[in-house]
Parts: sequence; structure tokens; C-alpha cells
Amino acid sequence: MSSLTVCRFIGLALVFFVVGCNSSPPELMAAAKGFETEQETRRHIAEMRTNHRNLLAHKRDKTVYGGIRTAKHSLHACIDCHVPMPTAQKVVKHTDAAHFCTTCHIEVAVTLDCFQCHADRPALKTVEGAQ
Amino acid sequence: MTKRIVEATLKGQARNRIGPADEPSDLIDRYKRQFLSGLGITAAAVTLAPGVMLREVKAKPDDEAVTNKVRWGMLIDTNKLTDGGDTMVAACKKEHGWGDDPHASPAQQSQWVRKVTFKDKLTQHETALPVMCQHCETAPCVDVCPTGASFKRADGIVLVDKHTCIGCRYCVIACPYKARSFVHENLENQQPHSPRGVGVVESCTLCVHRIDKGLQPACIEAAPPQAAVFGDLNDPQSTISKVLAKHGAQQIRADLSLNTGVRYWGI
Repeated sequence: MSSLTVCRFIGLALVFFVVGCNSSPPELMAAAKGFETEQETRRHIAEMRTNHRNLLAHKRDKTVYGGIRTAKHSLHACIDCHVPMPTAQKVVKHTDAAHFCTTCHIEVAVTLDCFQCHADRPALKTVEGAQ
Repeated sequence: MTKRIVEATLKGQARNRIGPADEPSDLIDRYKRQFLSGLGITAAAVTLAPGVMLREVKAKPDDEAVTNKVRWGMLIDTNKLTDGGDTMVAACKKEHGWGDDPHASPAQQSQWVRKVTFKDKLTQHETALPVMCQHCETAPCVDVCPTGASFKRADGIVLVDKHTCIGCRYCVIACPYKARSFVHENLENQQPHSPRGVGVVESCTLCVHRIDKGLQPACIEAAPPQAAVFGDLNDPQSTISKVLAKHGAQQIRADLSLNTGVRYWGI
């Protein structure tokens, strides 16, 4: 096999590899609330996509040790807005692929441990009421 | 006229004083009277409108961390606990969702607070009291924790940071009050304000999520009237401090000198 053929083969493989990589993120369920401006929305998405893990961990320690329970960067507030309220017909759990957090975590194959303890949907009372 | 009143008062005082010339039966009566009047004072001190106590638990500003200026504590009067603490246990279960884990055997079920009953052999008098985490000042569970997950918050509440707990259960063994439990199975449908899950230790949090909002613990709200008081032990003006300063209270296992935040009457 000539070196030219090898080069062609590698080139073709690279093309297939790049085509196979779809860098666009998966479709996520809509949030309950929205920002006022498009700019704010884009900033929120950019910040959270790269940084949500650190922000959540930081706030977690402030809450556990300092008792600071403000909505900003709290898992509670994320869930309340991003995961729909449970209804009699439909309850979205973290084990469903449609769950806001799970969709991406399946895509990037990262295990999500938060919901072993934390509630994965807004106030449970609503579910009890609906059932 | 005034002189006569003063004399009468003096006479009255003399009658209450126990002197050497008194008959034994008189003595007993007088002792009894004094003892009972003492109890009356005790009852009056705690018989406060619940509203007064509610206003005492001040909410800190939302974005400020807790400080050691306050130390939360509670006082439980077992004589006024008509049900021995059943309502308090039920309120805790409802608030935090423990006790009904589907796969746990009865011995494995979590128990954040339990009703303990004991009987005096001589008098056959039965006393029941709810026993939960006593929120010790020098907590043995905090001492032994290998990861620092078991910790005491600045305001005296002993908690488990479940993010760093590795589930070794050393604290469960160390606690002299049997206050801690371990979760053996995967759970779902947790309460948003009270995360609990498999593989970590848990115990009474003194309803820390409620205290941070300026509310009282769920068990205190559910307790029979005047049976339980919650408040700041560091504030000499709080109801709990005033009552404790005047009448004192018992700790369970006081011999261990743990300076518990939960105190009892009538044990």
C-alpha cells in the first residue's frame, strides 16, 4: 500500500469522524420562567453550561454550613424553574431522559448523583395533591 | 392601721417559716405547701401564649451566614406531654419523610426522634419522652467523624454534611443518645427541603431549614400546649433562657458533660 493511499484513508476517516461529532447540544425542556432580554438568556446559558457544577458546589457549602438559603445558584431554584410541576398525568423524574438535567448528562455520559438525596422536581406536595 | 398590716404580714411569714417548735404534722403540711407553690411558679413561667414564643425566633437576614451569637435549644416538659411525645414524632416524620422506607426492616428504619418510656419501680409512675439529637456542645459524633462530615453549625445545631459523609457509621456508635440512623436503600420522592438518601447517616436537624426562615421546629409546633419551648439559649431575655435560669432542667446522661441543647423537665 502506497503512502498516498494511506494518507487518503486517514483523511477519509477524519472526515467521517468530524461529521459523526455533532457539537450541538440536545434539545432541553423549556424553563417555567424566562429572562427579560435575549442577552440575559444567552449569558445565563453560557455561564451555566460551563460552570453550573462549580456554582452549585459553592452554594451548597454556603447553605449547609452557613444556612444561606437564597434562591441564587441553589439547586432548589434550578429545579423549580427547569423541571415542570408534576401533574396527575405526568411526573418527570430524574430517571426519565426528558428530565432537564438527565438529558445532557446522558449525552455526555456523566453520572448524576444529586438526586439520590435531593428532590428531582418541584414541591412534592403538588404530586400528592394530584394523585 | 399600717402597723397592723405589717404585723399581720410578719405573722404570715413566720407561719410559713419552719421553726423548731413546730409539730411534725404541721411541718409536713408546710413543706407540701411550699413544694406545691414552687410547682405553681414553674407552671406559670412556661404558661405563655404561643405567639410570644413564635416572635422570639428571629429570622437572620437571608444572605448572612449563621453566627455563634445564638445557640438554639429546646426544653421539653414531660409532665405536660399528654401523649408522651407521639405528636412530636409524627410531625417530624411528616416534615422530613423518614420512617417508611419501602425495603427497610423495622430495625433498619430511620429514627430521627423516638419515644422512650420508663417506669419508676417504687411508684410505678411511667414517664415518656421524645429523644432526638441533643445538639451537644461537645458532640461525640463530631469528634469521631473521619471526614468532617459530622459537624456543629455556628449556632449550635449538630448536622451531617451528606456530601462528605462516607457512611462509615462511626458517629452512630459514638452517639450516647442513639440519635443517628443510616439509610440502607435508594429513595425517591424526598421532600425538597429535607434531602435524604442511600449510604449516608442522618439525624434530627432541629429543622434547620425552618429556623433559617425564622420558624420553629416542626415538633415544637405540633407539641401539646406548653409542653415544649424552643429558643436562643445565649439570649438571657428569651423565654427558654429565663425559664432555665429560674428552674433549671435535666439533661439525659448529664454525667457525660456534653452540655446538651435539648433539656427536659420531669425525667
